[in-house]
Amino acid sequence: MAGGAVIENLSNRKLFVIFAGLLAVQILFFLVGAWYAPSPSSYMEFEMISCRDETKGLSGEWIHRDNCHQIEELSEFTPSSFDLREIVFIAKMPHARDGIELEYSPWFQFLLGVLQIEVEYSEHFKYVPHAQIEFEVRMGHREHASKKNDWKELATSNVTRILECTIAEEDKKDGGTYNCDMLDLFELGSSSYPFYLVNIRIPIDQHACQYNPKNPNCQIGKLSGLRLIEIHQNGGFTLVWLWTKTLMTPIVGACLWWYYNRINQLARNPLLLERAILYLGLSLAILDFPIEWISLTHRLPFLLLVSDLRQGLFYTVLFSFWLIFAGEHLIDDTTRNNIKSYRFNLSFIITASGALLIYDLIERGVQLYDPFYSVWSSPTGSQIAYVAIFISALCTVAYFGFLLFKIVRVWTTIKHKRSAQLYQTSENRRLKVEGVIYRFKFLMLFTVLCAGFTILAYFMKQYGEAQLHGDEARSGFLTGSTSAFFTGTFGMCNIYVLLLLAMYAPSHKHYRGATQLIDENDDEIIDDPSNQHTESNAMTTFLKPSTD
Amino acid sequence: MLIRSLLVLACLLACAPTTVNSWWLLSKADTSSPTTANSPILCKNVPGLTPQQKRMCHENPNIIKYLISGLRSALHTCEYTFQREAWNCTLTLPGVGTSPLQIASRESAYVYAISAAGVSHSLARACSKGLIDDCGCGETPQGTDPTSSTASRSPTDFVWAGCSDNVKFGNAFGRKFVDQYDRQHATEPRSQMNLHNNRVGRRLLANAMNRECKCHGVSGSCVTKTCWKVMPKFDEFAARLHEKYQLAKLVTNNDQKLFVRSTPSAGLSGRTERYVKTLDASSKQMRNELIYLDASPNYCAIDVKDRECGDKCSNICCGRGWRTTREIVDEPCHCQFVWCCEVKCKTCKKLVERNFCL
Repeated sequence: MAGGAVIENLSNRKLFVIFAGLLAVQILFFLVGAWYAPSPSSYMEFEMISCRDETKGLSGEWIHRDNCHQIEELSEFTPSSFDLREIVFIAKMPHARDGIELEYSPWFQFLLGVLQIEVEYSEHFKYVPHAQIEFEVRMGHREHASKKNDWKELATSNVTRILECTIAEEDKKDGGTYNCDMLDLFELGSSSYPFYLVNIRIPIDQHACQYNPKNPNCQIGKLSGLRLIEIHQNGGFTLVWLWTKTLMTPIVGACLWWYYNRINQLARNPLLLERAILYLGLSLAILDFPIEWISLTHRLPFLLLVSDLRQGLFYTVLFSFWLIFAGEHLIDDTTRNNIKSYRFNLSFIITASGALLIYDLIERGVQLYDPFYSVWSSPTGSQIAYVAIFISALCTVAYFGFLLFKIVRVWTTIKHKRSAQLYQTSENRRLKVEGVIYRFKFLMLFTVLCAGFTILAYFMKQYGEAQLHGDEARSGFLTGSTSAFFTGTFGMCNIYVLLLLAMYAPSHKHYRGATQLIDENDDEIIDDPSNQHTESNAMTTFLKPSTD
Repeated sequence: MLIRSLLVLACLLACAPTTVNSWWLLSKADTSSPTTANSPILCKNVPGLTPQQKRMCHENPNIIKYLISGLRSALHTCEYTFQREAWNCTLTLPGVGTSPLQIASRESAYVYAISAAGVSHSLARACSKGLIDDCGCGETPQGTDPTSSTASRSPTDFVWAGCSDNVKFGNAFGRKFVDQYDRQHATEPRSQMNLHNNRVGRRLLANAMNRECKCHGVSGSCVTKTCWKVMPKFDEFAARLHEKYQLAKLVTNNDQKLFVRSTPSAGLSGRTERYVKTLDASSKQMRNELIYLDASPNYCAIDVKDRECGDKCSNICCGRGWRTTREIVDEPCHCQFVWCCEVKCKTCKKLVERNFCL
């Protein structure tokens, strides 16, 4: 172990001041989220207008509100063709509001659309569970400067999804409606155009249906309409988020630099734990780096994927760090300070994050090319997705099991050592062990505190979101809690890592280098909080410390 | 058909010598031809509109179109709901000699509530279809005129915090248009009752909205979740309102305020039976309850001859007996499947029994 970390050499008073300061900063993070930022995301609902297109889409013409021959009631419409390609469902995003044409902004970061299919119960057109539905989707975009209905192609795709609907037994009469699961329609990693237009056709091949009713669109029941819900990140939230990141980046960078220099100045090679903290800091710096600013001026659809990867990296490193930290505090374990001895346990984290990485790369990676792609749409795809998520969930549970086991072992060792009073004969050795115990307890307490805060914030967020559903939406104290949760936990992550960097850096006051024997400033050690709970008699006969 | 509806109008006018609040006559207005649909002439033809209503109608023809269709579907739903009851949601009762809307009965309460809700529902749907450009974002209350621009803030607000609402515009416009007459006469008990029931209708509609959520956090996790509200089907809402109709509360007028004498049923709470509480109609408990001032007229005085009565003939025919006819009808069967609109069926014969009042 390092001879001594900063934490052991801080007086109670200093520690208290630092903690109070950090708590204030933490509260500030919460308040910024709660008061200043709007909720992280918002939606717009589009009940798709059904139009009649006699050209059946062969002309390649965009159908929009102004050239739409509206079909008021689908069930009363008699089509002139068998394939029903003449019915087009359209939605122009976003709506005009207050007489003004609203525009999407790059601040929205992402746009995703889910589709709600409305299916009516009908004796004749029976919906069969797990029916395949296939649509031809065209998505167009329009620049700010271009003419009103001058739409350009963004993506065209044939989308296949599985339609899962349920209906209560008593609703099984004409006019009763099914309750259908929503379908993922599209996901755009950047919101770089102001206007979008969606044209959807649901063609049917009568012959194929007679041949095999399991063909797409043969068993989807009596469709009464489509509803598109578009979700984006709020610009206000993006602004607050980006600024907190921008403000945190230099602080984390400076702290990391300081820490790096500190462990490089040691007369020995950095220990495993010290390196782990360094990597944790590094991953936080990567997480914090506000690369999203570029997306405001340039089209970068892959940013959504990048932000997922950054978060994944941070959590992988954090989980690994906890494991190493617990392991390195097993006082009597001789295999310490060697990454290889953690191979087995680390493999769980690697597997879990690897599985999620694969899932994310498939889902969001393919979406870069085809915004309508979803892993979940095909049976094989959803199997892969399920397997990936299942494996990672299993590994995470196993990891936490092992971590708990390790922590319990550390605790019992500590207790054992304490009660045995083995080190009373060697003051330096005793101080070292006390230091180890103190460091461990401190981080344990701090981690539990942070976890508790996160869980509390999460429940506040859930409660706040539930409140919005109430009788009349109240703008109460907790309604802004979703943003507060995000900024708060983000701030907590930062504070957690910064505190680690600062507190667990090797102290230059004492034990500079592991081989230093004599302490030059013993009275401070007595004041040290790590000593307050031992019956420390100032019997300072420094003997040779064990070469532990 | 046109002649009949004109006759209905004429009768209503004759039956209502004072200009009653008859904005719902708009439901009879002819919107079928495209020339009249968007023309202000439509508004002039409807009797009983207040000047303000006429102005609103004139200035927002596009919105009025959806308002009318909402009104129609409300009255249609009302007829469907009450087809097996003595009062079949007819708004003209020659037998009684007066329009049921003029009697402050619970039927009247129901009609007001469902019309107000129907208007809100229809406008909200039009908003979510993007057919009305004047729909608001919901947060900023509209000015005196819904078309007036509080709009300069709108785009920046949209970028900052989105614009998700479709319902509030419908409610606001409906309030302004539908409640217009009664708000001017807010001291009269009848107007107070109407205003209350309109509000109940709108509130029930808002409360009937379902919540749906989508998780879109890292790897699709629910850390980030967006929820939205879905307008219920109007039929579903009408069923809920029908329950409220059955539980409607009789109120009495006292010092320009409406009070409910609550007589708790013995079965529910025996303890409170001793007290006769008086409740302000605007109190919290009454916010979701329909209220009425007068008892219903005797609907058996109506000529129910030849009315189809289904399986509730003893009720509907008021003890005058009924006859059963058996007929063979053609029904579609062995239909072929097409997803939305096309039916390819064979016809099958089926024996159907129908009951009619004598």
